[in-house]
Amino acid sequence: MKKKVCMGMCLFMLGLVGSGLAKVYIYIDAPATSKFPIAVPRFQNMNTLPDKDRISTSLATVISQDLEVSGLFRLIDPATFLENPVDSGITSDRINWNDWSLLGAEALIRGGFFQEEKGIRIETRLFDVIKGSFIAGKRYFGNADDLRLISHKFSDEVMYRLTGQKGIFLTKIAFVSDRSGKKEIYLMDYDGHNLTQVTNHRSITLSPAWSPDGKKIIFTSYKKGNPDVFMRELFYGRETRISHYSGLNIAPAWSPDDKKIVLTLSQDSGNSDIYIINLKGEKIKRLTSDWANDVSPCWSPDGREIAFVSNRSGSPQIYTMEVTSKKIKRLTYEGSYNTSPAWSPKGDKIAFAGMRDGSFAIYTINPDGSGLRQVTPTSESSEDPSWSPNGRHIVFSSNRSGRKKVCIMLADGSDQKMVTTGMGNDTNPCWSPFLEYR
Amino acid sequence: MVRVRKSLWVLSIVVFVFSLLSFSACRRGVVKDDELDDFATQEEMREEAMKRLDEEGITEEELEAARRKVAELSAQEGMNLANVYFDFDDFSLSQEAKAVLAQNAAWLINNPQREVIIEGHCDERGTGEYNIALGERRATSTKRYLSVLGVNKAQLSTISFGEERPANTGHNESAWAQNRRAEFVIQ
Repeated sequence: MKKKVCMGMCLFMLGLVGSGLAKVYIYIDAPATSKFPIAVPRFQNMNTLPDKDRISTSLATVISQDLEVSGLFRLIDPATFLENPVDSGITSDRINWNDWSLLGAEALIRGGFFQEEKGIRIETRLFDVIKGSFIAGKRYFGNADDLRLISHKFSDEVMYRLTGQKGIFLTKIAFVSDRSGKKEIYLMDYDGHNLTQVTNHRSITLSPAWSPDGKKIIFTSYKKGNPDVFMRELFYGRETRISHYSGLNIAPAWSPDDKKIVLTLSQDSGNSDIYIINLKGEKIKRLTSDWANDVSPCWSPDGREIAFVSNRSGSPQIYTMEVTSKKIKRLTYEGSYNTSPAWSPKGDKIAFAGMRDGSFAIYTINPDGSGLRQVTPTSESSEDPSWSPNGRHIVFSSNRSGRKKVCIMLADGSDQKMVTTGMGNDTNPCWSPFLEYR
Repeated sequence: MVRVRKSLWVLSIVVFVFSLLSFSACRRGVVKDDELDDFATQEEMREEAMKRLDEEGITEEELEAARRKVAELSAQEGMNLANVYFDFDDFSLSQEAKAVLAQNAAWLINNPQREVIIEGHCDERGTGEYNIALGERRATSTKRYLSVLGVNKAQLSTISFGEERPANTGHNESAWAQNRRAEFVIQ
């Protein structure tokens, strides 16, 4: 990943782009906003070299897919485009605004590329079709391998310019797959591309969780025989075993302040309890000490509370706890098997997996226990929810294709999309934070 | 009248003592609650273990009978270690499981130099992390029962694999029943 970033891909602002937003085009939090119509025509080949890497379509395709996944945009069908790209340019003085407003487009992305000795130069701009004006522009350098990354970068720019909020197009998803025959941890872009195998423990590797800066992951592995917690630095590939108390060391989650890890330890007593350790693995605080199994803790975004699973009532249910006072509140009462809590980045929802009639569905609930909502259908089994860093999406694993695969959806359950393919079962997805380094 | 007054007097003393007691109990509760970062002492853990055995529904008579059975079985040749099976989301030992463990205990007592790992396993239903905790419970309740039957604890260690190592990879009730188990691996 480090290599990729260092590949000499620099980025320059194209002038005119001031700091701060001039206008918000899409109000994300407004209820029932209709989708914003946008046109993304093919990028233009700005010199005479043949486009053997299909740069013109791949850039437009990736940007279109990104915008579509956001759930905020309606992409104008390219088959209906009126403009002849040969006659028109990529700057506002050479765009026929009527051709786009007739199609109902309110924004237009125009881009071109120059194949140069050292790589590919890409210029891309975002326009307001109604006003016939320029909104933002970027210039990127890279090579053919960087086209997806460059497209995601511009998608993020479009998202920010039109909504004032950050996009998720540069984020990654960590997950567990048994495609090699053993359960190992893999990383991929949020859209399933750019898949890489992270661990090669040839054992059982589970439950990946990100550091707040997105540069490290922690996970459980049986590499040394016992379920221990490991930390891996993603750029350097360096791995350290940070929690290896006797008994279970499972289900780690990194605190939002970057200093602590909450996890489940059993200490050979057979009784699973929740502890906070520091990054060296030293116990800082014991949060539960009862006869029930307490597992799968996750932090609230402010780090003041955790949500976790306990069977203290006789069946696994979701509870929240104030970390300082250790005050506990039971959150779920419907159903007899509720697990895998994930606290939304805005703090307003907790997603979890609930089993009804032997099959799991993803639910969301408010942290005060109100507003329970089933967001995936009962017809398939969906587990392991994790929120995108802007809180608009949830990633989860579903058996809809026969095998367990990683899927993403909007937090209300709409726009579901399977993002992993191929052999094996893909489980335990965990969405990265915003990756500022990409 | 005198009687009534006397009983009132007694009552008020009782109430007073009680309130003192409950006050100190409360206080103890509060103090204990404040020891946030403290970990259970050995004694507390032993007490807890006894309590658990109680909660697992094993009576003194049962234990005596089981110990006699172990002694009887120990005298026999060709004993083996067999798996123990559990119900869904449960780690309590059935009568059947206890009978199997009596045999296993006999084998372990006859082979004091052998060490075994008790692996706790679950079926594929349920959540991975919760199942690892459940498998741990299955392994430790098995170990605890063997040790009360007289097996040397040093011979026994435990690990949970949750739902990760099924004995039967099928997706039906009979496969699940075979997978909810404590398995014995001789070192």
